[in-house]
Amino acid sequence: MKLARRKAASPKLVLTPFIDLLTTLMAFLLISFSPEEAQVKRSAQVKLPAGTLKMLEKIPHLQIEISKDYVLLDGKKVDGVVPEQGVDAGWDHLKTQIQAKVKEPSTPNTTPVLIMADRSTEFRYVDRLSAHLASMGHNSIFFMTQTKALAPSKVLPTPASEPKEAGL
Amino acid sequence: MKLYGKRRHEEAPDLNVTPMVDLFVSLIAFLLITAAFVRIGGVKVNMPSAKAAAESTMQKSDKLTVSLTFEVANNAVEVNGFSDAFATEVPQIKKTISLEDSKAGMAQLHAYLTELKTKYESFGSALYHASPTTTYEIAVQVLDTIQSVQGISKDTILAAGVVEP
Repeated sequence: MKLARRKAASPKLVLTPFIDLLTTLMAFLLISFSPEEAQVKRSAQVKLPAGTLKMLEKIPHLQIEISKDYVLLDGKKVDGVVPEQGVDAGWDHLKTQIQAKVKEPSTPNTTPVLIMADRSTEFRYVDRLSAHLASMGHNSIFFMTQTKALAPSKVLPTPASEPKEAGL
Repeated sequence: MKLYGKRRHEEAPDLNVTPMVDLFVSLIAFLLITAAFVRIGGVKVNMPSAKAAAESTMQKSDKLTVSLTFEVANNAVEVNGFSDAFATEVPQIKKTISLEDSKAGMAQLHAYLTELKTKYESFGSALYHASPTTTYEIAVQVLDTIQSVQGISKDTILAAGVVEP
């Protein structure tokens, strides 16, 4: 018995849903992308303290992350600086690197410094770093926080007379 | 003239929702994974400088300009008030707020500063110091609370330790 030969349908790749998906994904990424956050170079394990103040308008060029074990200057570990060991051990090396950074044309000398540390870090290290920065002429310092933008109930109460901070 | 054509067989319109469902399922999964809802903020402090000191000593006018000091130590924040560029103490402004429960403590500090703002007209720079054993979280949250009360200080000066230049 001869069987009727079926005409095999050629496989067709339907790309429309895939393109839909990518388009939406891209739109979402573009909207939620925070250029400020992308400019901050910090370790993933650092848990920042919560703050209520608005976002930084300009991210400082000089960014220093500090813990008891290490110091990161713009995301790169500064060799020889272990804040836990000795009061001023290795700080000269950090100062040299900061001075080299400041000399770069993209970094103005009067630039503020962004300091970040884990919530549990003792303030002694931050205090020491701030003092060293002050001795180098950096008089404006920002301590980095994270703001929960979508949790208004957790924001500290503000009097009605005060204008509400943007991004709360 | 009557036309006699072949009657076309009309297919019922069919809305294919499968791609849309695919899209939403993927989108929800992505949103759930990436949902951080966190933005970066910053608390600005100034370091002591000769210029700042000169400016604060020049704050002489008819009205009382109050400068506050904040000392964070032993899970508490002590607020003191001064006039004449930290030369004269204002005895009415003196309070210690416990930070054992940090949320309640910050709310109490905020309320106290708001109360001070209504009592006094003019405020100068605030001086801030945190003890070495204070955690970065508490130190920054106190600063954040101070700066969230607008007008309570011209700027916040961090009283850091002294190092060799």
